[in-house]
Amino acid sequence: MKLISQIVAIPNGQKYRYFIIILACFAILAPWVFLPSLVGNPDLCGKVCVRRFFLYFPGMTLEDLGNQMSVAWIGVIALSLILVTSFFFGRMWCGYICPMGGFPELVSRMIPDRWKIEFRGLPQVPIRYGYFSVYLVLMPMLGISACTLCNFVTVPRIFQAFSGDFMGIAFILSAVGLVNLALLFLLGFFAVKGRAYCQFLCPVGAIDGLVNRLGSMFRFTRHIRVERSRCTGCNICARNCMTGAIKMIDKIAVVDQHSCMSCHECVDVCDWHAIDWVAVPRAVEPKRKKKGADYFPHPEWKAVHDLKKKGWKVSSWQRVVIGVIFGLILLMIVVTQVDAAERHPDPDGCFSCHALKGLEYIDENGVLRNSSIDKSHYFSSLHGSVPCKDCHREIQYFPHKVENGEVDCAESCHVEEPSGKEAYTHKKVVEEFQQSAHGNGWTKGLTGGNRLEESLDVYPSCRSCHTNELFISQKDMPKFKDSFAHLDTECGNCHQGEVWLNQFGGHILRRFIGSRWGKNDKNKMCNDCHADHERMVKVEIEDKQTGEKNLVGPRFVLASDSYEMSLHGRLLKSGVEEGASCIDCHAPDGFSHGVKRHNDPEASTHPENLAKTCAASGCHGFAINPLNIGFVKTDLHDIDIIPLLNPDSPLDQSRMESNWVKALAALLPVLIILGGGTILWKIFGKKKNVIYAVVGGDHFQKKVLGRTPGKKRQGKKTALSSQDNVEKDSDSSEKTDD
Amino acid sequence: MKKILIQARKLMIKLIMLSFCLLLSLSVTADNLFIELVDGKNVTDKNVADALKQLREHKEIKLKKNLSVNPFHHKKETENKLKQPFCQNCHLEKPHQVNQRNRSFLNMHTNYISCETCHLKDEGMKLKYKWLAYGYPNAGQVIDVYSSVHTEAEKVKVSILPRPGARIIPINNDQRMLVFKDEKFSREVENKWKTFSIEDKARLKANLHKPLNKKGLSCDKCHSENQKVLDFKLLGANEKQSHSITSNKIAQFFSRYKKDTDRLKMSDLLR
Repeated sequence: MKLISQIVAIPNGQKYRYFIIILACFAILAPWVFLPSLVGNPDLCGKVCVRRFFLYFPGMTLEDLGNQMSVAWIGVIALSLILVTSFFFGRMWCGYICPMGGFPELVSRMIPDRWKIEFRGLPQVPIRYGYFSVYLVLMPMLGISACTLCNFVTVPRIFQAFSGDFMGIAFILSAVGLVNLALLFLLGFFAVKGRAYCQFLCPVGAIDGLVNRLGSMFRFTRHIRVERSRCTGCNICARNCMTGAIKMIDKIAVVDQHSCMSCHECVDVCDWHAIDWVAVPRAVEPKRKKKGADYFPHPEWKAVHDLKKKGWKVSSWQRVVIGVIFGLILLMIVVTQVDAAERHPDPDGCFSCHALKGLEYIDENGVLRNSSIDKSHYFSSLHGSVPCKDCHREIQYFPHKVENGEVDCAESCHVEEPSGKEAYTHKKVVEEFQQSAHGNGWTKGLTGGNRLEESLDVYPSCRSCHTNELFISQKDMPKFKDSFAHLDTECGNCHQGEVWLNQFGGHILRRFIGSRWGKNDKNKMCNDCHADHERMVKVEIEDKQTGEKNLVGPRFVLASDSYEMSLHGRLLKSGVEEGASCIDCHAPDGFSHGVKRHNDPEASTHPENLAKTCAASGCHGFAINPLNIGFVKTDLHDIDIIPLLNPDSPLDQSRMESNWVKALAALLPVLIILGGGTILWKIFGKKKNVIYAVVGGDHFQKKVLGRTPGKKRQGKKTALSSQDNVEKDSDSSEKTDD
Repeated sequence: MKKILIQARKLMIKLIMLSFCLLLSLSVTADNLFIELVDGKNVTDKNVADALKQLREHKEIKLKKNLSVNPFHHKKETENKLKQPFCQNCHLEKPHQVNQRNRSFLNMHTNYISCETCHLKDEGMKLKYKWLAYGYPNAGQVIDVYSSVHTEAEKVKVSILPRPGARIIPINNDQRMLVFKDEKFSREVENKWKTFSIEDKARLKANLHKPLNKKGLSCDKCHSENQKVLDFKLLGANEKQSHSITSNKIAQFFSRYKKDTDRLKMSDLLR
């Protein structure tokens, strides 16, 4: 009954707000993930991410920014919508919708006050924007992933975990999950009003706050405004403010528009209608005007209070620091800105038999061998212009013997290379391949019979990746045929002659119609082997110095799994082509067959070449900037989370270079300052009553208490005891939190 | 508990289906001449001994599927939704395996000729050959070639196959001389095979193969101008089609090709 009466006692406006937050939790979070799934996303990451695309990496160009934005294009749209509403109506997203802030708030409101920590007294603006600039510039530079401190990951994962999804549980049990969980408890559940994360650490909130402040400068926008003539200074709004945005200055409520979330709670509790969520009404002429005095004065509804007109001439250390930080950021940004190949009609007559359908048998190993070749497919394929005998050289008689079908890919064939008029061969590629990390595989002696042995070998053969594919996908074939039929009239005006038409016209047309492979197809090719754990466990790598052969470690075996958990992998999985495929990093241009191990100085993934690789093909152009010491060290195959997904996999847990450990290191100071400081304050600072209303930093205390920061150090009396005096004076109704 | 329930349900479904099939097969195969032949008791001791020897020397081959290395040349997946003949209880789908020279070609013929067409001894029987549907729907029904999907004009280009999954079968007095895998007789044999000792198995094997030839018809039995086995007209072929079958070059070559030295040298062909 007590609960019901408590619920009834909640002001109506707040009831609606809680209801919308709960609704948003259901709409955005697991198990339904309704809104993100509309755009095909299982969580709030990847293309929906709203808090990563604006990160600044040293040396970044506008093009890079465009890249980051196009990856998270839905997030960009969402954030713009959020900002537009914030400008006109106050922070609707933060206060009314955001389940990442709303959920901890609701939980926190259900927890008795005596267990909670008061963060609202800390100076909000400097901490928030100080951290925001670290988040924006320093963390990317040091290579700490923005995702390691993200509550847009944590809260959805908690819901996922409770909805029974193993991914959620696995995340929460990982190092970064635990850190984020601790943050959520400390700054969410066990913070007074549960909004400390939003106040201090949320980058979306930080940007939103700035826009809110900007919006509040205009009269037509709807923000929390104070009517000074009505305010009695009773403090009730300040005590109820969940973000600690309201301070009493000269016994009149003053709203800090950087922090205010327009949650309306102050309006609900104010007995005098001195504070409201309004736009300034249009000035209507008063009914009677006498000698310049208004008889019906209209309320001013001030959102921003300039108590004393300081202007730009008056300097304060806060302004200087903030100015320097933003100036540096600006400076950094400004500085860094400155075939229709010839077709042979089967000269050896092989298709007399091989074109028949159903030429099959099962060999002694149980492999179904199909000797039928689809004639039209073959002629449209990559090798369509190569006569059979150019590859199957051993065949002299027919019917031929099975073992005579052997092929060596390094042999040359009758096709002439158009530029050099030399016989075409894959010899160079084969040599490059044999020098590569995959080099122990089969390149010659390929027959239909040893397909089984090739499949069992841990090293790939040519055929493991390459089949005789069509130039053009089956889907695009009708389009190609249609265009090819008109080629002589369209291109033939300038390019005349059968030779051109046959040799180059079709070739160029194919390039116009589209490439054959998507990045996901390429990844699938790599995963055919690398995702096969049983096969990968057997791989032995030779140490070049000692010549010893050692079995590979779990990092290698689980490379495919750890890739899938990285941002690269998840982007591609959700269909965003901007994510990097395996090949993009391990075999970029010039490395196609010579994939080397990362400790080879020539490898694209060698630490010295990594920056170049990341910067290639328009991905992270800024990576070559020498200031980016951390970015290239980001571990894209971090396997810390994997033992939770596969409990059986043997792993060493002692890896200190993990991304998660880095995140912990970055978090510790924050935790110590926020948590430790507050606890110490609670133990040593307060002997008597707590003054909720008195929130804010030195500047505020100076204004309200008339105490200069310097005095604190002189006398034995602490600042708090002087606060107590003020409390008695001000006839306020503050109570302790018990 | 849940598992037991599921298993019980599966068992129920199986039982219902089994009884349904039994009823159906009883009505269909009441007195099948082929089954009478196969059930014949006149096997010789030599037959049984041979069968025993074969059974003892047999090595089972398991079909390996989904190799990680794909064939280099494009292979179309063969659709395999056909009614299976009784023989496939033991024999692989592509049964010809030993003779390297022609196994692929013989296996190719299994796509449009039933096993019994080649391997059944026609002792004293007047066999006719007709198309039978192996594919669903209407699997197991004789196909009337006059209602085949191909018009006369189309027949010039396409094979005489009236529709995919049809095979030529022997018919004696309007009775098809073959048994399908899902019929009662086939299941009885299968059950016996599971429970019998090796000697009994050998006798069963000899019995089953008694009316059959180990070596099927040779190529020229059908692929020659004066062949008498198949009536191509009855099978729906026009003049041109039957001519192309009877004068098939590959089949004629195979009837000449006995030794390795009989093979053709490719360079000779080019001159």
